[in-house]
Amino acid sequence: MKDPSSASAPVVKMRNIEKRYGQVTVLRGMNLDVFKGEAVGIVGDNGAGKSTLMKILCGAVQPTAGEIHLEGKPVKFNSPHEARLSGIEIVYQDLAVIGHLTVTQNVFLGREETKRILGFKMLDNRRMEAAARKLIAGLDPMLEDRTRVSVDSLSGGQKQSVAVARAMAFGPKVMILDEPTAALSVEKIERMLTLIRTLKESGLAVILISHRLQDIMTVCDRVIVMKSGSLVRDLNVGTTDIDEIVRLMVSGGEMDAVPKATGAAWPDHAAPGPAA
Amino acid sequence: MAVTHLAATDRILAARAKFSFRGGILIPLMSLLLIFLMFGSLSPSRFLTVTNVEVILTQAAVLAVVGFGLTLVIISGSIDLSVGSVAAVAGIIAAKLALVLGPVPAMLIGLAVGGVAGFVNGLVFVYLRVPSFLVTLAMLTTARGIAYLISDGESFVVYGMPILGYIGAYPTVVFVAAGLFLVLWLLLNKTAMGLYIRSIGGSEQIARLVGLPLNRIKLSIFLLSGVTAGIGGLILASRQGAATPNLGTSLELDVITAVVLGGTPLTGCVGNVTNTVIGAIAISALSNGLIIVGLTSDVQMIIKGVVLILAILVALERSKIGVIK
Repeated sequence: MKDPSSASAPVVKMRNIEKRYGQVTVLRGMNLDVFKGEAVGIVGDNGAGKSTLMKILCGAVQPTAGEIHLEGKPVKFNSPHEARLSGIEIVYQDLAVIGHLTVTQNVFLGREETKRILGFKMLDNRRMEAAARKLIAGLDPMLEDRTRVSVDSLSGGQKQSVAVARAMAFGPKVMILDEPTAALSVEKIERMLTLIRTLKESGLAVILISHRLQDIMTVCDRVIVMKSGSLVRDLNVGTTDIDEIVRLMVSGGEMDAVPKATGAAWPDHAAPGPAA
Repeated sequence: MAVTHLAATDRILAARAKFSFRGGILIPLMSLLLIFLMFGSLSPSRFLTVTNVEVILTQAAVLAVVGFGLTLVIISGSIDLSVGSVAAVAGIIAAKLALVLGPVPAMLIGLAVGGVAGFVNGLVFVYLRVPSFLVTLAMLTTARGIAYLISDGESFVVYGMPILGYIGAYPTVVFVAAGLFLVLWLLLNKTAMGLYIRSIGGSEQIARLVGLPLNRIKLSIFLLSGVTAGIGGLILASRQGAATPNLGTSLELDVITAVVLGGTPLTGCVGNVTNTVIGAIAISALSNGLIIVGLTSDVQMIIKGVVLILAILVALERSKIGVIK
């Protein structure tokens, strides 16, 4: 293994993951290791299977075959709720927050703090408010005093901060970010990337799905290239470049199989898949 | 500096939310006032009497009680069209059993009948994945049929149901409505369950991804809507002194209008039972006023239909609906 923390066991170990929908195979024999304190980028063309792989990891989709180990123990998630309880959080690009609810309500959604009043479990809004303020202040200082406003009145980047805050609120082990920079302005992208660095420095395993390869080169330690539901290559960011990644995404690694020295023209069937 | 500036914008946002028809309370209050002013000036000697206001409030209590359950259903983004028929079945069964079992057990069974009808709505909606308006439309006619079947077309005189009558100077139904209001207000605004109901109405997809127990919540709110419809049926039957198979016919229309006019939009997530109280009084006053000024029932129906569509037009969040079908 090329990654810096190869001495320790991976936090996430996915083995031989397969997913079929009827006749269509979306993932075949997919393996993935993610270690504590590293950020792994997953790239691939549309339909490469990266989103399905992440949905399997976060419990939203169940694999047809294969195993998932979390901190060495085999796990099986029947729902996103079970995955969250085990410390796996995902932040979706567009499905993130509920507009009419407040920042605090969004951050604590599904894990509200309660107190007993006359035997009834009531929301402990004061405690949640204080916790949300503290959490959000570290992510987006502008939001610190706005935890009571409805998320509708926030900008796209601020909504994303709220979604990240929800994912961070309960000390996760693994954080999956699905296209976190797709809807952001240049300035907000910088903040997001800084945030990802902070996350991995704090010991989280971060998985980043992105079409923006420059983002992945900036913050990730490794890049996983996928094509047609399989792993093409597991690359160390320090020893690769965007050109190589793009080439692998398009060719699926077939081009590398032919020795470059021969300089022969590639047979057409050696480079399958759409080039666009 | 920046912080105080932000706080000011947020105060404006909060104020706008209060004035907004969607979930806000001021516009519903104004329409209520408008209705009172209109009929008060048209027929002051008959509309604005203590007795008539009491009649309005008693009638509003029925709409509110049924409307509270429906409010939760609507906030979750669904609808329950069966409340009128469910009220009829509950009222008739309770009236029929009261002769044999006595009023209190009969009333409890009536409530259970409402609950079962609501639960069946919920089961079909959740597990057979039929849209709520279709499920409850089917229940509307099924329950009405059952009401005719058990009553055999007859009406049953209601004996001594404690829901009828007065506590001090006020009708008992008003206390029933007030108690139910308090419980459901707390449920909706102070518990996680209430937040989950709003979340489902706000975005069911996000609610699912966050891991909320969607099926359990949906089943509970339809069950609850059945129970509140059942309470409404008992009140209606008690007030008439008789349970007839056509009890509560087109009650669903008045109740939906009350909820929407109160400011709970059909698009879900926002709204409150407080709004439904105002909407219920407004619709009750409107019905009462239309009778007092001497309009025939056909004209009343037309006017109520127009009010419903106006309320929906003002309250609907069009941005949330991509396609209108």
